[in-house]
Parts: sequence; C-alpha cells; structure tokens
Amino acid sequence: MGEEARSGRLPGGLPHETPREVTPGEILRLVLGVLVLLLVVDLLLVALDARLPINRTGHLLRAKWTLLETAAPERRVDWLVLGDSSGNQGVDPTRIRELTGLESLNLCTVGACLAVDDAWMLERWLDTRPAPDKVILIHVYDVWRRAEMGNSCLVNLPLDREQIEAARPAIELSSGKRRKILTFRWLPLLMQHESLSVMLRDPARFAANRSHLDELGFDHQDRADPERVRRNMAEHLAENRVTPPELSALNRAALTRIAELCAAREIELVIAFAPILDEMAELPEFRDYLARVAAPLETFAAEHPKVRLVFREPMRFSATELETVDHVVGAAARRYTDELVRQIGD
Amino acid sequence: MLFNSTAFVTFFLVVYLGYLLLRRRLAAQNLLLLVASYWFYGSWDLRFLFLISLSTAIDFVCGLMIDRGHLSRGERWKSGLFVVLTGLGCLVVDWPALLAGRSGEMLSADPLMWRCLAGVTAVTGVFLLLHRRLSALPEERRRRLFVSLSVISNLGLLAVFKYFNFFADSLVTLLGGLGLQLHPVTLQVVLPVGISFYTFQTMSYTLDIHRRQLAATPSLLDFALFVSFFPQLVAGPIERARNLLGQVTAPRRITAKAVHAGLFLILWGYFKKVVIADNMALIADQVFNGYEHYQGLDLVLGAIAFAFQIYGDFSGYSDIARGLAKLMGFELMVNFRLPYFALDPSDFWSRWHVSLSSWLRDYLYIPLGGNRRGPGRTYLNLTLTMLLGGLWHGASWNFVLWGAFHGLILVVYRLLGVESYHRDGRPTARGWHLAAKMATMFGLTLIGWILFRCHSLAQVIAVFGGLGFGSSPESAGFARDLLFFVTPLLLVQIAQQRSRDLLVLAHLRPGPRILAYTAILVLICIFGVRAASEFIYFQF
Repeated sequence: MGEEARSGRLPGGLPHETPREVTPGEILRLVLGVLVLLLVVDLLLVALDARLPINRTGHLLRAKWTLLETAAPERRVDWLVLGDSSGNQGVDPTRIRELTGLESLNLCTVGACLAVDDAWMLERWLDTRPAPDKVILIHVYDVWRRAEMGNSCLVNLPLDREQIEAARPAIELSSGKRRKILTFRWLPLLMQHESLSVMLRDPARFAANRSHLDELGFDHQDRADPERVRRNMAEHLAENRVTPPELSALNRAALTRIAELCAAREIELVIAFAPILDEMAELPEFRDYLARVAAPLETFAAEHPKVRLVFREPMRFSATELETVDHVVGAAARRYTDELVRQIGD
Repeated sequence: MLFNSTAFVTFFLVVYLGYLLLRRRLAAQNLLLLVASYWFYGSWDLRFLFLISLSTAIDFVCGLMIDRGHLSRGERWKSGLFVVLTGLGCLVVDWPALLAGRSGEMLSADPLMWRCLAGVTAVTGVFLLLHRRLSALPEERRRRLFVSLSVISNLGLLAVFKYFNFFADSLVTLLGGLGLQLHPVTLQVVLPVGISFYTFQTMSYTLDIHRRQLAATPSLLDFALFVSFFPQLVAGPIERARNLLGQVTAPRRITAKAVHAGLFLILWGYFKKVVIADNMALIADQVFNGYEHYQGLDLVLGAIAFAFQIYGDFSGYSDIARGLAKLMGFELMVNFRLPYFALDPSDFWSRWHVSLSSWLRDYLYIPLGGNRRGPGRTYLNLTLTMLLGGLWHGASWNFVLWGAFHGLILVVYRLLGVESYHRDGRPTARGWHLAAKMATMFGLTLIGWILFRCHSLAQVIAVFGGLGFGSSPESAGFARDLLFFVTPLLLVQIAQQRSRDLLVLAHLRPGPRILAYTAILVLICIFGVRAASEFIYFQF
C-alpha cells in the first residue's frame, strides 16, 4: 500500500490525466482526419494487393489465371493439369517432359474453388487455344464433398461479377457473397488482416509461404512441416466424422461440364486423387471414408467413355515429405509426378 | 456482452443515441441507463440480475436505516416490490417461453428458483412488519446492526457464489490430511460475472454512510444505477459512492474536453485489449498450458507475455469503461497508472488496480490499524490486507499465494527502508540506478504473475524450477512477437511516464495526433484478435 496513496495525496511521481481544452469542431476534424487517413492506407493496400497479392490464395489464383490468359494463342499442350493446391505443388510439368517428351501446363489453383474453377479455366483455354490430348484433374478427397465455393476463392478470383455469373457451371452469388467480394477487394485493411499481420510480423515466413511458380505453373515448395501435418491430420479426421462423404451437386455439375467439354474435343479426362499422409491412409476409418468418396467418382467415370480415375489408392508420403496431409514438398513432388505419369501410361 | 464484440458496439450506439435525445431530463436518462445496465448484465445470465437487484435492495435499505433510521412508506414498498419483482422476472419467468406464447411453460419448473423467490418475499415481508421496531432501536445499535447486515449479506453472496466450494474442498483436504475422512459438500453454482466488483462497490456505500462520510440516497433508481452502471459493472473500476453516486443524482454535462479524452481512452483501451492482451495470450497460454514441454527462456518469455496480457486486458477494459463513461458525462476513477514503471511494491500498488488497492486501504488496512500501531502490527496488517486482496481475485490457493507474495515484498521493502521517492514525488534514484530499481520491481511482479497464472502447486514448482536462459526453437518466435507487440505500447508509455500525463497523445498537435490515432487504428485492424475473447477480470 503506497504511503502517498494511503494519505490520499497523489504523489508527483505518478502519472495523471490532464484533458485538454478542445472545441467540438476540433474533435470533428480529428475524426474526419483519421477516417481520411485510414482510407488512404486502405487504398495503398489495394494498390499493393494489385501488384503483390497480400495472401497466398490470391497470389496463386491470379498467377494461374495470368498464366492461362497470357499463353500464346497457338500454344499447344499435350496435358492440361487442373485441380487444387495439392496438384499445384505435386505435378511438375518439367518432369513430365523429361519422362515422356510431352508438353504440359499446371493450372491447379486451390480447393476452395472446387472443380468449378477447373471447368471455367478449361472452357477459357479451349475457347482460345488448341485442345490438349488429356486433361488431368487432381483433387484432395475432401474437395469433392464441398457444396459451395469458398470465400477465399471467390474474393481472390481475378474475374469480375459478370464473368463469374456468365461462366458454367453457374454459381449463385448471394448478396452476402457479393458484399464479401467487394469488401475483401476494397477493404484489405479489414478483410486481409491475417495475411497483413504475417507480412509485417514475420516477413521471412510471409516470403517463404508464397507460391514459387515456374513458367509451367509448378509451385516449388521445399519446407516440410511434420508438426503441421499431424495437426492437419487431426483436423481432417475430425471433419470426416461430421461430414458425409459425397459428391456435392456443384462439383457434379462442374465435373459434368468438364466431361462435356472434353468429349466435344475428343480429350481424355483423368481424375486423380491427391497425395496423402501415410499415417492417415492406413487408418481404417479413413480408408472407409475414402472408398465412399471414390464410389460416385468411379460411377461417373464408368458412365463417361473418355473419363478414368487414377490413384484409386492415393499415393502415400511420410510427414517429413509434406507441408500438410496432402501437399508434397521437394523430391516428393517428383515421385508423385513420376507415379502419375506411370498410371496415366498404364 | 463483451466490449470487444459487435453486439456491444451496437448496444452502446443505441443507448448513447437515446441518452443524447434525453438530455436535460435526468430521471429519464438514469432510467434508460438502468434498463441498459440490466440488459447488459442480464445478457450473461438473467439469474445473475436477481443477485444484483438483491444486493441493491439490501444496501439501499441499509443505507437509509443507518443514516436516517427509517424508510418512508414509499421507499419501503418500492424496495420491497423491486426485489420481489426482479426475483419473479429473473428467477421464475421463462422469458423465451413467454414470448413464444407457450403458456404452459412460462414459469420455471425448478423448485430452487421458487424457494429463492419465496424466501426473498418472506424476508421482505418480515422487514416491512418489523420496520417500526427497527426504527425505534437506539441510534448506535441500529447503525451497527444495519452496517453489519450490509457487510454480511454482501460477503455472504460472495461466500456462497464464489468461495463456498473452495473452502469446503480445502477443509476436506485438510481434515483428510489429519486422517479424518469427510464427504465433500459442494454447490453446483455458476460464478456470476463481476460479483466481486459490485459487492465491494455497494459495501463502500453503506460503510461510508456508517462513517458519516456520505448521506444515504432516497432514490432507489439512482442507487440501482450506481450499483449497476454498465461501463464499469463487471470489471471495475470499483467506484465509491462518494464519486459516482453524486454524478448519478446531479445533472451531467457532456463537454468537448471529456468527449475528446473519452475517445482516446476507448481507442487506447481497445488497442491494449485486442492487440496487446489477446496476442500476448497466444504466447502465455501456449507456455503455461503446456508448461511440461517448456524450459528456460520460454518460461521467462511466457511469464513476460502474461504480464502484458493481464495488464493489457484489465487496463484496456478500464480505459474503455472510463472512455464510455466520459462520453456520457461521467468521470470514473483512474485505475492504472503505468504499473510496470513502479520502483517498489508500494509504488506498484499505487499504480495497479488502484480502485481495489485504495478500497482495501480504506476499508481494511486502515481499520485494522494501518501503520499506527507499530512496525510489527503494520507488517501484519499489510500481509493480511494483501492476502485478502489475493483472495478477492478468486477462490484458489494460487491467488492467496500471489497476495501473500505481494504482502511479503511490501514488508521486506519496508524492513530494508527503501525510499523510492522524495517528498515532492521525484524519484530518489536516477539513470541506471532508477532503471535497475524498475527492473527489479518488474522482476518481482513477474514472480507474482507466475503464482497468479499457475493452476496448481505442481505447476508453480515446475515453472519456477524450469526458469532460465536456455532457448528452444520456439524462443525466437516468442521473443519476436513479444517485442513486436510490446514495443509500441512501451513507446507510448515512456512518453506518458516522462510527461506524467496519461493523455499525452491527446496533447499532440492536430497533425501528429491524427497520425498517431490512425496508426493505433491500423494496428487494431491488422493485429487485433477478432474472435471476441473474455476479459480476464470478469471471472473475479
């Protein structure tokens, strides 16, 4: 108990509050000044985001769409690889060329885009460029059950509202989703705070976490994270226990659209399961779940003559070769690509 | 309803708009604030609201009986109806069923609730019947009776809802150690948020009246608002009736000066809560919850993170509460005065949770004799006061240990005759000597925080045993985040300490002030933890 405090006297050593005399006008100017400055900061971040996307999903989506849009009109590829981020860092077109002499392009984006973005990208490619011989569709098992495109995909897609609404399969943009897209794009200070936080607190981690895409769209990642892999496995298993394994209506529509586009041009469609953590793949509960995810895909493949499913038994990797349960790094990507080529060849 | 939630922001804006529309109509403003405060508190659990109304009614009656010796007929009926009706509304009416029109389910089926209501109604009836005889008691006897009734009922509420299980368990453990086996009797009660704050606040009212330092208020509405004023209801500052009640009963003026200071306090309070406290919690929780896996420097960093977490959390709440009050023309007491700049334990308690430390000083330490009965008794009084101060925080031995530790260092500093300030308030030390004194006190504070944060004796032993400077792969990340978040706080606090003005940023010229406020808002937007997390001190 302070002597001074006990005597009821505030000692000179202690800080106190001295409110200053202000006018209401001064407060108004202060509030307006702060709001204007916040707006300036926000607009600077919008400009920064346009040059250097603040988050990894945005970076990847824009880079892949740019790769698609900037490919020369006469460019022909033998294999066009579509899918989610497991394919993005799992399928190396350079390795495919080494093994087969074939040209390929990796346009895999993120799982939050479902197979819908794959259909849109394929249509765009076929509208402007020669058809490939094969379309390879790589997805993690849990993408097939997702019913809606995730916000992280919608807000980062470099497409405007009209383009999204005109694309097929069509998706419904609720007013909430439209608002989300607008705020995400125009209020990064509020909406992209997690990415900004990592960028400012830990620039090295931010840089390491970005995509390292080569000119053929392969994302070179080389940092395994066994701890994260195990956490991710627990998340997957927990989610699998509460979410039924099914092929969602939107994914079925996207798959049907892709199959139609392929059939119209005599393209073979290969659906492949992503790599997976060996510990998880060995669990009976996971194997059972995976079998139930694969069943409708097998039926779909059986119903369409030029569609087939490979990696019915997903290729397994140890935690030291993975970033998450389904994202391979370093040499593991090469092994996955090799096996993909082998299975397609078979 | 948490300050750091959109629900609260909406709630406050609606209440504030109504408050401004009712300006110059004091009674209507007070009624609005009372309804808003009860809404705010009832949003946690409607049953808690009954406790606060019970405490309000008891202290309202006790205050008048101590001061005046009787209640007018209107006062008697108002206070009786108030407690019975709130009991009815909070304990036995099932509001969701009532609003949904399910007439068969609109009354509670819990017999305990009915018994509580019946008990309160019976006690109210007995009081009404005995009022005349109680009024006729000799003055001193009556004053003693009613101040005791106030203290016992408030401490009784605390004893039942906060401490019963703790003492019952401790007794069983103690007797078990002596070979006597008892079946523990525990109550299935939920701790009502902020109960320690409002019970202490209402007790100060009757104690001050008993000391003839305050006149009892005849307005139940004003008194109920004094007890439940929502900005400071659940985590303080613990206001004195001498300060707050006068502001409730007299017309208030909202000045530009107060609004300006209030806006800064709200901004700075949110910064301390969502940027400092919530980010420091990520480190502190990781280290203390998984203490078996951490050693050396990680434990030190975890303790430092907790020091800033609890400071940011509690002082942030106080700042927001005081800022909101200022916007409405109220002036609440300063609760924190840069405690980590303290030079000794006595200085620390002049800066940390000032509303509690001054309450303990005025209503416990001084009545025990303070320092007027020789050194030995002073040390005993200090230790006892700090022990009870520790126990105030929670029904757990770690809080008692924390209080005992602070009592001990207060005594040791006194024994050593450490004088940190001249009579005029200037520090006795300068330069490195001053920094060393500050660092020593911060180190001692950290020891206290470890006791405070640990949940068991085994954890205390493990954490103290593991402290050191050996690093792990995680140390660099902890240190980086600590530095990153604490640096802006410390920069502002150094300016506050040097200028001896907690509103130093509000004194900047307009341009730099706009820049500083924007920077704080940008930091809140980017680094603020969005998931609204509870303030630590709500549990006390």
